[in-house]
Amino acid sequence: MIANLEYGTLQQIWWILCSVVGSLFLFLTFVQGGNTLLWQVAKNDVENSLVINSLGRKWELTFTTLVLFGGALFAAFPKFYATSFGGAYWVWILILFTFILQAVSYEYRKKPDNFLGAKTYELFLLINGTVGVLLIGAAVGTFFTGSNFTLNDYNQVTWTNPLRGLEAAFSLFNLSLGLFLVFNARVLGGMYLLNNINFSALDAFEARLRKSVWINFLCALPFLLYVLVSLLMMQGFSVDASGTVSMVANKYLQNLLAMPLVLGLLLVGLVLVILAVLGTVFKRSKQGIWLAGLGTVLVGLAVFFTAGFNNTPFYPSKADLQSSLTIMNASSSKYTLTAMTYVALGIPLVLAYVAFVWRQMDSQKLAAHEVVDEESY
Amino acid sequence: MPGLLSFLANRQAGSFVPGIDDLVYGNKDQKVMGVAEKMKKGQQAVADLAAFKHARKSKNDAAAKTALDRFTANKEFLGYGYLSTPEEAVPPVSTAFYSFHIMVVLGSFFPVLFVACLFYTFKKKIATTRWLLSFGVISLFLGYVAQQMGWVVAEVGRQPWAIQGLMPVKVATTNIAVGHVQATFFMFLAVFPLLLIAEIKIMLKQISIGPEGM
Repeated sequence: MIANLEYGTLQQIWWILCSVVGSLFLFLTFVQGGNTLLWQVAKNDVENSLVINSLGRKWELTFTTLVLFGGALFAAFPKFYATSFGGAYWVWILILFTFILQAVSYEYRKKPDNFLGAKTYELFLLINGTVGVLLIGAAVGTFFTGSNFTLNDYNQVTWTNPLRGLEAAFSLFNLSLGLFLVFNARVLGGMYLLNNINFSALDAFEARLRKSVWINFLCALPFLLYVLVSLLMMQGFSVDASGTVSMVANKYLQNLLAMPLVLGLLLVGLVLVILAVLGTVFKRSKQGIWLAGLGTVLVGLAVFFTAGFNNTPFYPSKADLQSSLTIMNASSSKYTLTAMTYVALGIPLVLAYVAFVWRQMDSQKLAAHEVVDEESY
Repeated sequence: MPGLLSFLANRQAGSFVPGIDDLVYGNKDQKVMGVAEKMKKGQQAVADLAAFKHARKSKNDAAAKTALDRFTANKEFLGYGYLSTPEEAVPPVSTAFYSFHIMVVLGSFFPVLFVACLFYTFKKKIATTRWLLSFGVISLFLGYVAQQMGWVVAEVGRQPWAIQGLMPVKVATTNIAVGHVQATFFMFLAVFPLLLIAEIKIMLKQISIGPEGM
């Protein structure tokens, strides 16, 4: 059956798969959000260790998903990978560095003789959760605002801005998307910790977490509104049947109206996140992370689908419209996509394994007595 | 070992295996094409590819087809079209040679060490055989050396190719100013040794605590 799929269908399947991985990553940024909450919600060593150990059991999953997102894009849309990772060089290198710093920090923070001291490693975690997520948001923002590159006949990229990708962070739209993701990650982080930790005799700690969910939600709202309104109002990049790219007024509004399913994903996703926040703050629910997580995934899907479907170049160039990348001109060959689709049939197995391990890991809530033993971070 | 290379390369004893000079300068008797000839074909392929792209842009289908046919005839030599001299096709031989040998020597040493460890473990003397334990400690670092040598063989040995015969590394590199690459290098230079020192200090502390301290 897979062997008979048309090239165009395969390209769409792979854009959907990449979008799913990217959206799952946005949900899993609860780890990054949690990293940044550490300084505000934990008031003593035990609370500190509870936060770190709770997140320390999940950070690899987030990191792996980010790598998988890059890997899937590399395999399915290699021209995007070659253009963006070599071209928007600094934004990707800096994201990489914030994740390098994070990777060792959980492990080293509490070990005796760790050279830099626990506070430094906690600072690394903070940098990862703020700068890292902000830059990822800015990079995703360029899917709509465009980047500064030209491709020659041999697909060699020339970046036309000396900041090599960092200029993405100086657009109000991209910056707002980045800040929204930072605050959303903090909302998710708070909900995750509420769900994952056993708060017996730690009522004040629990109350601080609930408060932080509310405050970060309120902080996220203006950026979300700005991003949404701009997205609907802005000129967008559009590609016609001959492959010619042009600017079209309200392109992304048109995309949402042309694809009601995507509009539905966006609205349902936003409602789920809001319901989760209200439930966490006013109904003292501990299950908010699941609702908000699903909501975040749906919003993420809507964002990626709006960027890539309905004759829209997902990686547009504002320096040279005709260099813009679409899922049609940036994808791997039909042969490669077909082979990859067979391999992708194994994805449900991987997801089932992840879900199984997650359940095993979290079958008992993390309690204070656990974080004082030798095995803890 | 006489005949072994012939067997490895062509799965038969006594066959001709071209050496570096044969490959670079060609060997008429053995029908080995030299790099100079490959470069000529490669330059033709590069030119035909450009002609094809140009014809397609100006919507001249007939010219595009002719150019494509001419390109297809030489396409396997495309990468040679970018080389400046035949000698450029040769990777740094001594670096690849010695790193490969170090890797193989270490790779042969490790199994011997494992067998020795197994032997003394069964004899229940492993904890008191000091010389063997010392080898074990040194071998931790030799493992890193073997691994790095393997990378050197793979990455130096493949030069000048990013894709064998089709794309030299100098064509494949990102179009980025030297300063950016240097800045990245110094970022790694600042961060990694710092984390390495931390790692080593943590390890030394744990070693000094020892298994009794757990």
